[in-house]
Amino acid sequence: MTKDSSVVIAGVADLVGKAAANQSPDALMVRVATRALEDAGIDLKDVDGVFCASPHDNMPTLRAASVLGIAPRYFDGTSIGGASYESFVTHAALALQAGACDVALILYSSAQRSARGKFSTRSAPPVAEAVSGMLYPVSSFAMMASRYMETYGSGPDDLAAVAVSAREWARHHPAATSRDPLSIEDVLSSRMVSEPLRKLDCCLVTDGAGAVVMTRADRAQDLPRRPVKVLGGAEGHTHRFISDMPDLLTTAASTTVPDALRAAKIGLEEIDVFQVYDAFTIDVLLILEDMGLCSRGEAGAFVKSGATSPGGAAPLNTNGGGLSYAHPGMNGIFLLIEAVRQLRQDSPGLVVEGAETALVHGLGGPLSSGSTVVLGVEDVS
Amino acid sequence: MNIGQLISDLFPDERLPYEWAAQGQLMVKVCSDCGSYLPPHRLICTGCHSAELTPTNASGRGKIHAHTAVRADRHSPELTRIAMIELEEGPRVIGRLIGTEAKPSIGDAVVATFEAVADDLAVPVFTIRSNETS
Ligand SMILES: [Zn+2]
Repeated sequence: MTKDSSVVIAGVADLVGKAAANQSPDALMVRVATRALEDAGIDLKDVDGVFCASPHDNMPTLRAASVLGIAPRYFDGTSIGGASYESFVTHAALALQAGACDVALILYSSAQRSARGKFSTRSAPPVAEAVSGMLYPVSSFAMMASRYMETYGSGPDDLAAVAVSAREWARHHPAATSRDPLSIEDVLSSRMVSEPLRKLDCCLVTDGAGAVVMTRADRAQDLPRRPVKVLGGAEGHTHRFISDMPDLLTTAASTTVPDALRAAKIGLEEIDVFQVYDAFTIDVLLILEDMGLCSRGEAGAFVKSGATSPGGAAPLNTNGGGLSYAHPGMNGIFLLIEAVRQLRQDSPGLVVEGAETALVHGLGGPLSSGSTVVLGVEDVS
Repeated sequence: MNIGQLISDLFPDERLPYEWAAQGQLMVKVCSDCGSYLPPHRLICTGCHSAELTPTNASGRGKIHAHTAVRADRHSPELTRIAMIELEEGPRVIGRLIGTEAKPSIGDAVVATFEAVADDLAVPVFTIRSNETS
């Protein structure tokens, strides 16, 4: 996508944790869509584009439109795992620019925790992975982590530092699922799930729903919130299952981050806040190195230095991310919502003062897909 | 999970590596156009995109590329060790490590052996070759 500042995010909303417990995914979706449209100052009847992925229904856009009682003229049900939501922003921007729709509603809802065990992934891993005893998906990430640690001489504390950084943000967020203080020792004494990954290296399992409303800037002029511009986006993939991952230490972020920055016509050093999909702690280390924030093997030291923590030079996952805020199956939309709140300076948690640019990177599958979006509130060209 | 049943229920093309394993052979594929060796499940050559791939027998020797361990079941301390193996022909395959309690290291040399799971089906597993690391 080439840069066109005329597409904006006009409104966002999310419901996580207790606010989302014991409700059907449909009911959650209605509540969160209503709130995001109210935030945007746009009527439901004006929504003519629907973007949705779902662990509950394999026709998610039809389900969403039907539940909301609308008849959109543009649908996108791209399904590349958690990264789908970053791609929806890029795809919606293209659709809005082309006039294929005028108001895009991006939706996600899941009752993953309340319905625990009632539905599982529809994606069967290859036979060799299944019969080996690998747990899907955690053992795939564990394989990457083992290779990372032995290649660079990193320790389990390098992984744990990512969870600690996330918690430092979550401690200040009223809606975060996990808010107790967390030390590296706490992470290292939690139950081993798939060596070397422990329970606190893994994302939460929560309920939750999110919605993002996008439109063209001409329409956003008289809307209630400060519009957040979509400056650039890019997507990519390297494999479906880890058996086919070309390099266990390189993810799609190595191409999508530079591509998205190029589309946005800004440099990495101009990004004020980062939201990176943290399904497991190893993801953040690999992606920080892929995007070039630190050299290969240095991400653990970078995180331990406090760079990604509150007050650091590269504020990352400022609501606590999937490790401490919420992770209802697919986390991509919650990264976007937090980025928007940072740029509007209205996050209920800690606000990175004066943040004008944000980089959001989603991932899907066992680091199979990657999708990056660059957002901003100033015209930076 | 009944592994024998799971493999018996596969389509014939997916079942083939496990029929070879029952004959004591570690099946991989070789590209007729560029000569690349590929994991048994590949259908298109990752080197040249040719679809002309032929099953062939690998030596079974390789080294550990990555590894993990999970508890064999939730209530047991017993660990199942699992490794991604880089075969000496080049492809990477995933299988259980047997005969070792100790945590392995990347680069440890391994060799394939075969565990029968049904009359005509077996699963490749790997053992560490002692005193032979690279
Ligand atoms: Zn070839």
